Amino acid sequence: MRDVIHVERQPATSAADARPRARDGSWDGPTIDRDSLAALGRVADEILPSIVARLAVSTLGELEVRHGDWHIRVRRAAHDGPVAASSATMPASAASADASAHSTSSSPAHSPDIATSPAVGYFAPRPELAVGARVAQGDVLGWIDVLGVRQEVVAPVDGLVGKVLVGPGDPVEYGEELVQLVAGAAKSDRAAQDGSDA
Amino acid sequence: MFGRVLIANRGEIALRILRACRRMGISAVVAYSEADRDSRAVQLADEAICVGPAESRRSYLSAASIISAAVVTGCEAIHPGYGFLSEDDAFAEMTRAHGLTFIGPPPEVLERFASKAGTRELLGRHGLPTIPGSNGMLRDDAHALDEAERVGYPVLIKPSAGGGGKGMRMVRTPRELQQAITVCRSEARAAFGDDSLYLEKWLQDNRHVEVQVIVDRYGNGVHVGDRDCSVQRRHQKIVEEAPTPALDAASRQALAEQAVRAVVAAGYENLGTLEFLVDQEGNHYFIEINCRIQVEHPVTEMLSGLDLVAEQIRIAAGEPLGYTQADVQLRGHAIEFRINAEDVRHDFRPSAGTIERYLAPGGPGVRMDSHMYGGYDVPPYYDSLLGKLVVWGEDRTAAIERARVALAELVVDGVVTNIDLHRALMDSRPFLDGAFTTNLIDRVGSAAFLPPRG
Repeated sequence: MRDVIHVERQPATSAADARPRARDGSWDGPTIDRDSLAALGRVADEILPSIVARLAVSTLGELEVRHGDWHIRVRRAAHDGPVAASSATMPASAASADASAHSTSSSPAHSPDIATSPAVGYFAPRPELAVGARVAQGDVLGWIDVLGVRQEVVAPVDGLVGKVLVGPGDPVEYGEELVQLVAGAAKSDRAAQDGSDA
Repeated sequence: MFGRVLIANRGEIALRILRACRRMGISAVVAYSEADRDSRAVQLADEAICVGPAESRRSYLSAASIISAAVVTGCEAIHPGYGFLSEDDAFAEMTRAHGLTFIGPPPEVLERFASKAGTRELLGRHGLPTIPGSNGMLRDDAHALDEAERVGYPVLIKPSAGGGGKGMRMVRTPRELQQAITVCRSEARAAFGDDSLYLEKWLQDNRHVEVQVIVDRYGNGVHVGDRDCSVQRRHQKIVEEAPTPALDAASRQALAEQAVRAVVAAGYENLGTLEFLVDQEGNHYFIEINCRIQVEHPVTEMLSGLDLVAEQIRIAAGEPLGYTQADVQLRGHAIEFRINAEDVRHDFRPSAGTIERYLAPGGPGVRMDSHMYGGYDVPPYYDSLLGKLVVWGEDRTAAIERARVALAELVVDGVVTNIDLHRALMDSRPFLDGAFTTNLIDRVGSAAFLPPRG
């Protein structure tokens, strides 16, 4: 399982705007109704990673995609950092939508080409996971053992395995960086040039 | 004693538990969500571990994440604080199943006291007076009318399942009862899938008085006096004090002794708080028991000198209480103010943002428990409690005087807080008279307690 609703954590913007439609009070933060949550899940799961990856390898400052009821805007931070802010907004409130650049201040801005831990537990890399291996976005790179239940660690982007940052059996926390990928390399000529096409 | 404890909470209580661990020589690991990465408890912890995203359901409320965090960091016990998983018997059971200790009552004790109705029945059998109400569930309209007549109007219709005010109505006449009962049944059915209702006598102007108890595994129990939490808004406590001004010393002592006798007899263990409603005539009725450390515990610590969190940890580790009721000496008067990030003038709307400046008050008899610091970002995802100002004086008057001084000193800039309301309360007649009732702020409106806008 991956972190499917990263977008809803953006303060004020999306969540507060969505509040009039909220029915599901299952958590004590800003709430979003179930349909929206499902849509948001799809957005985060299927679309966001590829937009982030594209933005990362492009020279553009911002990318916006419309998908069904949702707008997704991914913007590069003002400084020369990785992609730092994204927003998903309800159509009704699109006018007031704006991603705030400081919205990720409380969590480290992960590079989009690093697979992070979806849970707290012990890391078990996929046996054949080796530096230079080619992986596609969504491929399972390993698992986190959470009290005996395995949760998948998946590749956030297409790419080549650059470095495995955590050893087998090591304890990891939620969001910990596990596998560094060289993004966008999978389909490009660079992959072959890197000599990692085994 | 434990060597290493996981603190599965946030905010001021995470810091409070951390302080107790430090004093006891226990290594403290703080479990935090992504939104709390910069919190004071995380900064001070011996080790900190991120357990999930801001959303509580996937971090502080995720039993698997919390227990997994305790396992991978080598902890022997988990302190759940208040709220979140603190009274979840399934979590306590799961904690034990993984070879860890839940710091609180053991799972079977939590389970025994999990149902409010069941607990009232149980402690009622052990001598605690409960609010007069129907004998069991209401079978039909005729039964409801008979029972309401017997109990005496006004009565409160309540669903057997759930909470949160759904399916609940106060009625003053048989006519209102007949109308309300249909609505309540359908509300309860929709909300909880169970339309059984019961009714209780409605206490119009009541006080909220609670008794702190400590019971060890071996059946030794003491009370640590009472607390009055009558200054509330929509059932949220704002100011707490001890001892209660609602009862004289003899009645307070009788109440506290009755409470501890009942819970010891009923097999309770660890720290607990028994909540009572006290009516205008001074009658008290048992409402519920809280099987955890409470927000307002410092009030009791000021009077007794006990470290209640340390007591909780000691008892969970299996140590005997080690003292008797005669050793518990309560001295003076204490008042606690919940400093919340909320806009009193705009319907107590929660506020979030960066604490630009924080200056805590000081001096004798003044204690400030807060996780704030200058530059701290108050995340918008959790409750609005920024800290607790607690003052002590040799009597109530002295405590109020100290409160005024301390509240005047306290500076929190950057977010909107309720400090103004507290300052105004210290000059309000009902508070000074010790006559606050739980419905007062809701009835007259909080504006009545605020100074005119400058």
